Amino acid sequence: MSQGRLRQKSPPSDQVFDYRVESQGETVRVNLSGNQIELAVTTQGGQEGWFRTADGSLHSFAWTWVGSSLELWLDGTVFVFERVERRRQGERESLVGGADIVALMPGTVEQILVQPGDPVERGQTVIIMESMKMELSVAAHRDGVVKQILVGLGQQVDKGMRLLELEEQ
Amino acid sequence: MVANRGEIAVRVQQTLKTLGIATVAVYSDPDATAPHVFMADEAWPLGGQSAAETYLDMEKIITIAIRCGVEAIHPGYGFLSENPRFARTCAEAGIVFIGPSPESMEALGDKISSKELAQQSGAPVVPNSPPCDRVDEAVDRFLATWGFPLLVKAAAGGGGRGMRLVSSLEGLAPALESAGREAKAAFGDRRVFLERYIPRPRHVEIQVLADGMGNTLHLLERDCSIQRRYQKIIEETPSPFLTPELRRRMGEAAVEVTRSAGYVNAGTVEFLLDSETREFYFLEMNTRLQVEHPITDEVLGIDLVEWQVRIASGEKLNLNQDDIQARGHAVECRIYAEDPYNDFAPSVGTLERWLPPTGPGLRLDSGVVQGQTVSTYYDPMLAKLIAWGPDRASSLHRMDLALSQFPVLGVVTNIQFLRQVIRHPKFMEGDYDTGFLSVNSELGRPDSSEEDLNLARALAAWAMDQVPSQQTSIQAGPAAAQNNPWHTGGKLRLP
Repeated sequence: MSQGRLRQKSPPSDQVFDYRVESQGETVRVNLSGNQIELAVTTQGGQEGWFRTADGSLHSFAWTWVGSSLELWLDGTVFVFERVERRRQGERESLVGGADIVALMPGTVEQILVQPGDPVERGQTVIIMESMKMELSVAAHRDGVVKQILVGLGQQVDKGMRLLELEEQ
Repeated sequence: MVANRGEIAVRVQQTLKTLGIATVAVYSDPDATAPHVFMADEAWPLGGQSAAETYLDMEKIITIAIRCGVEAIHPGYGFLSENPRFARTCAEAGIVFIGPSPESMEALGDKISSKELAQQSGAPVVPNSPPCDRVDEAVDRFLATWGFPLLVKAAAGGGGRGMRLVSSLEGLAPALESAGREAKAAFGDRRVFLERYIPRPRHVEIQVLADGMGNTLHLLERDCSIQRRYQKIIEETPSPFLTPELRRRMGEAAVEVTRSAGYVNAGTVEFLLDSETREFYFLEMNTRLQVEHPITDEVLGIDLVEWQVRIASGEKLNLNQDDIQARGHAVECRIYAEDPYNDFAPSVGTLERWLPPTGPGLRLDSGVVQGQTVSTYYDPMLAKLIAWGPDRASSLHRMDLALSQFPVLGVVTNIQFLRQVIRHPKFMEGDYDTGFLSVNSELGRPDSSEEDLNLARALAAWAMDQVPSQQTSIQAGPAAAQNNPWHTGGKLRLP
């Protein structure tokens, strides 16, 4: 028997749920926050297979770890979960990225339209990127003053990479 | 030689191999382990990563072609396929370019001159302005007649690049500027023009085939109205919108345009159809093989690439217009590495799972294999899934099932989204136009039921229990890659 806590990342939701799972051969009993589900799981040793639910319906699945995410394909839909370590009371998540403008997708920096010290308004285009031959405008997510530009022209950036830093006006 | 990458480089080589023709592939650094490389009889590196320093570099490609002694080059679509200078360079090197002459590419490749040509051949066209880079007199004249909304389009354009919908005068100057910039980046030509906007048209194109010996045929239509960002994602033939009469008129117009351009080989004449008046307008002619050509292959039982090769080698078409009869119905879905629930943002990663469905009436034109890395360097299309059926309902049903049996993990794809579109009542009725995806915005959300979610959560909990830590699966990564047939094939790869 094992138990833990998972967060559902995709389809987008911030839902966190607790589980307890008990396996006996093919029979898998899962308790999801009090909700009891029983599955008969068949695999051939790999990370894919079929399962039957209590009502007899048959479902196919495949899963894999991608970094710290568990990606699960079930009957044509992809779900992504990640493990949540139970935190001590009072501990808070730090607000990463609040002052930064980050790349929402990977690409190349084509144009930088602001300089350090420039005031920007929420929604103003600050950087133009090219990704997969498409031009993408990156806009400020809030008002502020450009503190620092963290990328250079022509630079290849990854999704989530910090592009520039803003400070309060 | 196939001067391309991805699924089309695989597709073309499949036909060449069937015809008993040895193939030469070229590849960029990120594509060194791609399927199109490993299936080739010879493969040569282009050195570099970006399209500009690899698949768009004529010099490198021609040098390799000459060194290998290739007889002909198939350019696929995109990259150099519609570049008259490349076709000319091939001819000068004594290599056959599988496609039309550079002259007809020039006349048809430019959107403005191609519309003039179409008009002269009797086809109706959508009104447009001369090229413009700012709001000048010609723009004012166009605005006085047609007003807003209007489209800004790139003269050298295609694939929606350098295209903007503008609804007011304030938006026009910035749109000209940014469309010009995008056009320059994509095509090396920043000329843009204005075109009257036809709201919610259908996009229907006619495939043509001409042998240069007086035989010009049309190979029926493809309805490509399901688009996002002006790029097609689902195509079908026959179009549920065309009457036999309309099909005949559009086919004849397409043949006339092809003839008057002196066009040889396979081409596609694109039309806009006004959903209300059922009027059609010439839009452009694509002087190459189209991405969506497989649905024509399937309903006609032919191989368009084979015909391209036969025509390029001087064969006569042994078909008559009367031989061209559709058998059943075919639909194609483009599988993209993109997140339809996040504004179709391109996604990258490693294809940890890529398990395509098989079965009667299914075809997959794919450029990837399991274990392959998807990067940002090129177009995010991974593969095309094609379903055929004796009628529209059965081919759509096959597509629906196939999309639900296609596990892909590690890279976000649009597979689930495509299935939502295929199952949409309006789509099933054939009642759709190019505005379909923006009007039916509920398609931008995943549609899992609470029951599905609970099953997924339960299974995730079980999977957590299967592997003690994530380390195990990280170690499994390279091992899985070793099982990849492309890594163990033992095929000779030239340095």
